[in-house]
Amino acid sequence: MDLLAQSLLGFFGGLGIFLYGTHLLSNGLQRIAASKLRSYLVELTNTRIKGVMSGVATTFLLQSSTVTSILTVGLVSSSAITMSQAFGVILGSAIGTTLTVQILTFNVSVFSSLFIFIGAICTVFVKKNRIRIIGLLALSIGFIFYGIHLITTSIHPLSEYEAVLHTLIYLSDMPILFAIATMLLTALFHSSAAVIIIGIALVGTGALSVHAVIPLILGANVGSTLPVIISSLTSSLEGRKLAFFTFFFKCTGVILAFLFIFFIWNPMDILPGDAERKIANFHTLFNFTIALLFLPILGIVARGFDLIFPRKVEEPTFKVKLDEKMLEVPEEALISSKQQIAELAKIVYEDMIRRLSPFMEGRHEGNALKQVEAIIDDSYIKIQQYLLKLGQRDLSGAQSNQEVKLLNILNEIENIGDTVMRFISISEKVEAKNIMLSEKDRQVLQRLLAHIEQTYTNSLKAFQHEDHQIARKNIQSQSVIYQFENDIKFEHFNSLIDNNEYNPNISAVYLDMTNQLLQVYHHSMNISRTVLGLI
Amino acid sequence: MLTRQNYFQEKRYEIKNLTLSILDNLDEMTDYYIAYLNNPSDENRNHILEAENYVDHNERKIEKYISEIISLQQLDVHDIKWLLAMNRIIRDLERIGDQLTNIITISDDTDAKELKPMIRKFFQYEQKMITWLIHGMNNDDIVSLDKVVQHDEHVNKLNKDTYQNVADLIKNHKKISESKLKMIIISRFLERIGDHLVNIARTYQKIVWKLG
Repeated sequence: MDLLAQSLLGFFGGLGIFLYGTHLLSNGLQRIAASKLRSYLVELTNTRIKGVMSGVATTFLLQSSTVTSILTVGLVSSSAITMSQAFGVILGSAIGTTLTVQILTFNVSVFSSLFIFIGAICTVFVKKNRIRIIGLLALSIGFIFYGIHLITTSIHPLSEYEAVLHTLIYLSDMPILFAIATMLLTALFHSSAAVIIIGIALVGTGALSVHAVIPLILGANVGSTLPVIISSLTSSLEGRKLAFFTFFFKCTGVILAFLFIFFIWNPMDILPGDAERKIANFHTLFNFTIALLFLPILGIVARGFDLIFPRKVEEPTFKVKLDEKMLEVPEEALISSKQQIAELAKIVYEDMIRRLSPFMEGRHEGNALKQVEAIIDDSYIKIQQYLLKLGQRDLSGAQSNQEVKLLNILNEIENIGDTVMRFISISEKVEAKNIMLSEKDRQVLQRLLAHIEQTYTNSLKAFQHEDHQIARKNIQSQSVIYQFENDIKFEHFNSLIDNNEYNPNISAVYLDMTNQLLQVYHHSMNISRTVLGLI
Repeated sequence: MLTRQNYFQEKRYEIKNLTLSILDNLDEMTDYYIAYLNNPSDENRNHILEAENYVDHNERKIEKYISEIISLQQLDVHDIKWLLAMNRIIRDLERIGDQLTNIITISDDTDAKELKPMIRKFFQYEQKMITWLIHGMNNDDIVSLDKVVQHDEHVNKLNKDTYQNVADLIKNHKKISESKLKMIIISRFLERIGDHLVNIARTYQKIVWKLG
């Protein structure tokens, strides 16, 4: 194999290892820190400046601006933060990614073997989960460093080839074309850091000058926003706004930088450090400057985005809103699914369970209930599909447990919908056959319904607020209902005997209705059980 | 593949860990007691009383868990037996704590010198028993639990010897000090501690046999 082929293989191998390392690192960090960082983002993003700082920290700690963006979309969607605060987080996130490049431009590749060794020992030989996760993080850092080493060592012989050298000289003379080419390359790799590392390696070989590499950095900055834009097209309104904002502020920054650097003054000469450091500093300076430019006008920008992306008028019927993009961050996908299940559970209460009482009084809403049931069935399928897709991801133990809980609760809610419909069907038969329940029996059914409503709302409260105390009390009250069930049957038979009533249809229908209501009770109780972890 | 955390399993794990931590605590109490005999200060006495509070606190906590589990879920008969066995074990542990505080309640500074050799001997045997018990419960190890049961004969013998010693003094019309009388009572308390440890080992052995 000649030197060119060897160098090409080394380069692509290095790039592959680098990209895999960053993917592993981001996934590992997300598993251990996403949940905590999400709550910090809510608490620490009450002003724009704090938003920017939270964005820097979150992106640096999670090693992914995409994950920060997904967490931010989730927070805006649940109204935990405003859109202008979210824009602040995105500005910070852009600065956060530059810190990674800063670290990587130190001579870190010498430590790659050490990190890989520690990582391998921890993941292969240690059973303790926490140590294994640490091992995985060490391994991914080792891969990143080793990837840089391979890229740097392979690029040197590559840059000596005339064709490569000629292309680079050509691109240096055409900065806009160079920026567009690197923009596309970055979009392809989903990593601005990878492209900037290549740029740094090229400067290291002398194939490119520090000045000539500026379009590469600017192109990489815009390029990293393109995959976000594409995936946001199927995303929620908030997701689209944030994606386009990222693209907008980076593009504006790049245009301004081009105008300033090529027509007014190039700051590269005064930036401190050697060639590699100058590039990393320029990358940071660029993102820091555009963040400073945008920070004071975020309110205006947010209003502008509201006009460009107007909120659609809410449809009267419930529609499941789950963003496929969020599946990349399981923590956020679980929160989002929980919100949707809670919404569905409220509909079951408001539009089904609470309509049962007037229904028993003869105020018929059978058709309306059937429509609600159709919505519930449809939503059930969509949420379940989403959760099953999520289950195929690499979930942590806690996330997996939460997913099992959500699937169970969703199933209980759907079953309540079905049971209510069976109750309606029996009641309609009663009417059709002209069977009259006694006033006393009706009153007992109303009392039972009141118990069920209470149990259901308690379970829902326990589920929404993860309140184990409410769930526990709810379950511990079940003996009252079991006794009530026995009393109902006992009193019913006695009342038939007292009234000299021998029509078996009345008894069958009444007990059937009671059983259906008790089924609703059992499903409601199962929600509390699931919240508590009795799964 | 999804995984789940079951409430009952989690609580079961917590109950076992709390029980083991009570045993650790009782082991520490015996050390505090030796420290008290060497230096009968209020500070050392308070150490023992604080440790006993901790034992009581954890015992109540386990009791709460057990009643909570029973009220929340229809359990399998083996699980119920396990909970009842753990309930018996914590009762015995609580009594051990009580016996240790009883000893400190009836003895004072003046008795310390005379009582020290006897109490030390008892504690030597019983600390070993506690160590085997912890190991046996931690690893479901029948052999270690069996050692606890066997070792009780030394404790019983020590109690008998103490009693015999004082009885001989009375028989020979020797002058009996108040400390000597207290010695018999304390020896009885210490012998009961051995019995409770044996009860715990036997109860846990039954659990392990059922698991097997």
